[in-house]
Amino acid sequence: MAEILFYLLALGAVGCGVGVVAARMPLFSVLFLLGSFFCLSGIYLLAGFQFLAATQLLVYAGAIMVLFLFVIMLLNLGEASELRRHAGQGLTRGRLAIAGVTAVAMVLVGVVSAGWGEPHAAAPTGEVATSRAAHGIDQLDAIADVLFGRYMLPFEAASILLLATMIAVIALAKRQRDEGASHEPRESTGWPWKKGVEQ
Amino acid sequence: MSVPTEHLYVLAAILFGTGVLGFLIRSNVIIVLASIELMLNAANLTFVGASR
Repeated sequence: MAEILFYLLALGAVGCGVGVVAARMPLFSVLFLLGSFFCLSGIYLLAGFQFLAATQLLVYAGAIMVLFLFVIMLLNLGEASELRRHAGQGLTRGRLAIAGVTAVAMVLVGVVSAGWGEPHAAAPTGEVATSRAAHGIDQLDAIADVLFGRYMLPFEAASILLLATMIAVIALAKRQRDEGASHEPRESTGWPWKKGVEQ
Repeated sequence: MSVPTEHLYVLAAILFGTGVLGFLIRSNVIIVLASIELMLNAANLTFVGASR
């Protein structure tokens, strides 16, 4: 039963992934991505990673997707969101080959490195299995021990890095807006950043 | 769930390949970012398969 569910979810994840690439509008692409995240979350749940599944839903579906949808629906980017590339766009044989070779290489590396370890040595024995059952949700307090014990400093450093990035983005965006406002006369509405939006 | 770990790797590789393809062939910034997210998720799935 779980196997059938896994293959269904895998099929859904791959289908939604293809939809992300093939969708004509960015909005549908992002919605396909959301479907792919839900399928992957189900796979994590089937594999016994409840905490990871919940985090996937909270962080990806809850936060990152909302960010994407905000950018698409509120900012109305239009032409500004198109990248200018040197070569022509579209599905060429070379690009398809790069993607295929990447995928095949990933499978080979994964299977070979899985085969290098002692075969079937990873099966949970005695202590690990019981501690996993005793801790309930995939050893959540073990994760917390490691995160706030041994890796405390990198954890805090990551948060400071994120804060610095946030401040830098605000500074960059503010400077761009000031430059734009100084070159052109201000709109009568008094909202210089709403210039391109239709009333 | 008694699915072999190799199948998880194959799924992750297919997703990663799709992400690479989207990164290469699309010109819209948002779709390119979505493709990168797809690749990151494939990497997460690989970690899950390796730790199972």
